[in-house]
Amino acid sequence: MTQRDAETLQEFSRVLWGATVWRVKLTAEYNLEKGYSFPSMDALSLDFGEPLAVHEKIGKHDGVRSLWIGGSAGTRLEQDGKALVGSSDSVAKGLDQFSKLVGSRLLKTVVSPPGGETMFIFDNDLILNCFPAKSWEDNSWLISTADGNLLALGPGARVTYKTGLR
Amino acid sequence: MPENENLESSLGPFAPLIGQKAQGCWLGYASALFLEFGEPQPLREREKHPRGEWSLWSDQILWRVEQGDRVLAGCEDDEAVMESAIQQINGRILLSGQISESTGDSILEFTDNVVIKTFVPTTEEDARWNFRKRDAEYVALGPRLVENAGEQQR
Repeated sequence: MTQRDAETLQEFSRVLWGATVWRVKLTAEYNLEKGYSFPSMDALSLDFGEPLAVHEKIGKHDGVRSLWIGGSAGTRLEQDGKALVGSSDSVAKGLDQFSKLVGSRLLKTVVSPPGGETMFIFDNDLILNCFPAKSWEDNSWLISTADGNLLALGPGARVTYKTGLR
Repeated sequence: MPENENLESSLGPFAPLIGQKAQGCWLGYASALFLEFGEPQPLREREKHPRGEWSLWSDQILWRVEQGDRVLAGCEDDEAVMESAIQQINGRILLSGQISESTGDSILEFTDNVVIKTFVPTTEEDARWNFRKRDAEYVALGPRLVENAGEQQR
């Protein structure tokens, strides 16, 4: 990934800037072995959008966009320079700490070449760091929008942008 | 404090390695990165890889090797890709090393624009660099451990 790729990606990611996280989805993987089992965190997904003024038990949101982080990438949530939780931590800690992202507004995204490390910077001093751990991967993280656009990033690959998927 | 110790302190915990040549670096179990510096030492019983005068090896941290605008390998790559990248470290001299006291993330810069970047993905486990110095003193370099490492140096 070149500096230009990183800048292009940052521009595309503006679709999420200023949007608020209304839901965090944490995917856990369970490894079952004879006499032993353990769950580990697998992927993190953030849903962005503004709540609609409807009087229903389940809230509805306008213009939902999602950010998915998974693949080989490690992630870590920090606040005021202190690490709160990382993707290799226990699922229990992940549930406890990643929930702090709910209600947070994404201010900007910073992508660094050539590895594609990405900082998602939120308004309440929260920073979600993403560290791709492969030389080549086309989807360390993805942004998808309600109208069917998809933006994918992976180190070694250029930005992938698809439109009209739905 | 002697003058050279002042210099070491200002360069951080990797100070003894600055200016040293990496040779005999190798890939361990679970993608652990073993960096050997200085003259290779005679093999000891049951050792498969000669140690350097100084050794630095990763424990539970993610890493990537980069050169210029290319990513040579990351710790989640296939073994052959990782091995190939590690060969690019051999023969190169460490120019600088930095580690974050709060997160434990680090950057090691070698000659010819070869860079190792690390990332600590856990707050619960001991994720760190292990550093064996020439005098066989062992130091752990990770989150909340950098300060302790400095004290041990003295």
